[in-house]
Amino acid sequence: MNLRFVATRFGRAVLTMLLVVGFIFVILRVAGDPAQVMAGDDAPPEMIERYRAALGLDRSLPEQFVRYTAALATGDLGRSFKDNRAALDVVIERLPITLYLGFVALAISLGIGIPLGIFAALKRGTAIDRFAMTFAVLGYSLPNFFLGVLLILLFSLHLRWLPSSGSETVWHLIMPAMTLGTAHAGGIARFTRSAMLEVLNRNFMRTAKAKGVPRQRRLYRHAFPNAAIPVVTHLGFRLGHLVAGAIIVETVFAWPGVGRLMISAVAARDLAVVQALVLMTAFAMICANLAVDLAYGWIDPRIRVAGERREA
Amino acid sequence: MTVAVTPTRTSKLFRGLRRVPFGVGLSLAFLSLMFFIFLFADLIATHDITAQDLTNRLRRPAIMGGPAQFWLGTDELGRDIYSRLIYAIRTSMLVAIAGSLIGAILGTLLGFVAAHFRGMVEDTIMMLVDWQSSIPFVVVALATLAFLGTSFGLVVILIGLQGWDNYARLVRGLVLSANGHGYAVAIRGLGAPPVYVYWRHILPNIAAALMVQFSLNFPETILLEASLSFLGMGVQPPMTSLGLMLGSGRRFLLTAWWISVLPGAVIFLTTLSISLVGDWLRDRLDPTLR
Repeated sequence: MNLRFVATRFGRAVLTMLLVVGFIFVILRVAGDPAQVMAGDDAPPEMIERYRAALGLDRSLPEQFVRYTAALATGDLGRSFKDNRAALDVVIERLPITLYLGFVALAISLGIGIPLGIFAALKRGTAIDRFAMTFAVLGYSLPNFFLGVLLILLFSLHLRWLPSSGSETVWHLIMPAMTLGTAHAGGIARFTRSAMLEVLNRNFMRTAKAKGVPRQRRLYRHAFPNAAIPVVTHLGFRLGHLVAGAIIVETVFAWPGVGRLMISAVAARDLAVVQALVLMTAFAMICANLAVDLAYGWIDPRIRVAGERREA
Repeated sequence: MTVAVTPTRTSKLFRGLRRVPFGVGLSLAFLSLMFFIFLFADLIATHDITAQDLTNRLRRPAIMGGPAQFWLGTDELGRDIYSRLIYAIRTSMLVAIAGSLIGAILGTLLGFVAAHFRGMVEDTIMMLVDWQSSIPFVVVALATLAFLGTSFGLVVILIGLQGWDNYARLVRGLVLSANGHGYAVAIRGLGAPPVYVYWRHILPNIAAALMVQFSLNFPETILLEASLSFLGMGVQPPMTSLGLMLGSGRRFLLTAWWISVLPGAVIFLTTLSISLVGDWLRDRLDPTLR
């Protein structure tokens, strides 16, 4: 792969991460005395002093920013004032359970969304198409928190089939994963459909048909790879929605992951933990987008030659 | 050019109104009802939304056998759910409309600025756009509220900041291409200042695309407000909003499901209606956009 292409993408990712750090740096100073704010309202004076020293508040602003960034880079994200543990550890210990939910939800949304989108495109204008598009609009309009409440009402309170909160067994996973998964399945179905429709109308598809390539092969070798390009990019953008959705879904179903941690940390104004969460979310998202960008350049040679992604 | 284009599009829209699909018509009716409630909440509410009636707590809606004076029942403090719902709709609509407008105006302005100045200014604005698209906005909003504390004004501003990047990206692209068109070049050649060209000629020409973007963005702002309030970080009591009602009613699902389900249904029907109307508008106003 073109080295310059990789370098540009990588540079951009680093720059974006620096902007996120800058955002927290600025907002922490807007909020008042950063040491006081970070340490919490009723923190002991020595804790405030420690923050003051750590943040280097007696120095100039640019110098503070450099020191702050350097501290973050070494993994020092401050301490939770609740139990004085490193904020990073508090976040990391909740990560696996959120990833578990996220991957299952992603699998559900891809498993439903992609086949549905493909069938809708192939059977354009039929009942299947209309069903798929209705599903997509409903999935898009039905907010996670409302779907979650409806599912609890039906399956936990009325039918008493599924537990409404917690994460102990696989039964606990069903409702949160379905809530998170179906919302995205709709969007993915819709996007896959339009990507497929576009490819199916291309000249090369007609040529393949005229050459006598069998239908199966036309789809698998010609249509799917080409339709996959925009769908992969779209998935990169979707990831953000998935993270945002996880915060809501974890709250609705009392799923003890990172999303719930975010809400309790925000409510308690445990800012070191909030800061760690924002930085880690941003880091994960930026890495994912970088991976999508690189994958995109790898699938589609036109991109890496031009060195610039087309505006989506 | 402007004079020629705008009436054609408008008249096309009105001709189309005669054969509006049933679902879109229903959506428009529902949205009109929401807007009516937004304007005249004081007239149609029957109770004070903070008035408690502790002898009538968690009553069923009148239709399901509850007391006749509470049409949609009462909550855990005996407050009238019908009136609270009316005011929740007003607050949520207010926040969504204000937020959408802030985002649209800010994004459009920055899009014009980026397209006009190019170079460093454009790079900076596009870098901010990339930044905004790179992390989920709910996380940014929650962090800001954690650091700065919750207030109604801050919530409105944050909701306004959501989605500006889409406008900026769209407008920059459209203005760049419009600048190369004959009409813009001609008017500029006649000596018109840039602001005049942008305001009187280019803006009306890209208005259709902006309206489509607005219809895409509006449900997102409703959902963001509802999400933040649901999580307890948005609109704060004694005010109420659809998300807040849904979130706080969740504790009473077993005994009084209607407290949560009614506002949830309103949110769902509103976003659904806007999506349906938006899709229809998009086909009608701008067939090239998807």
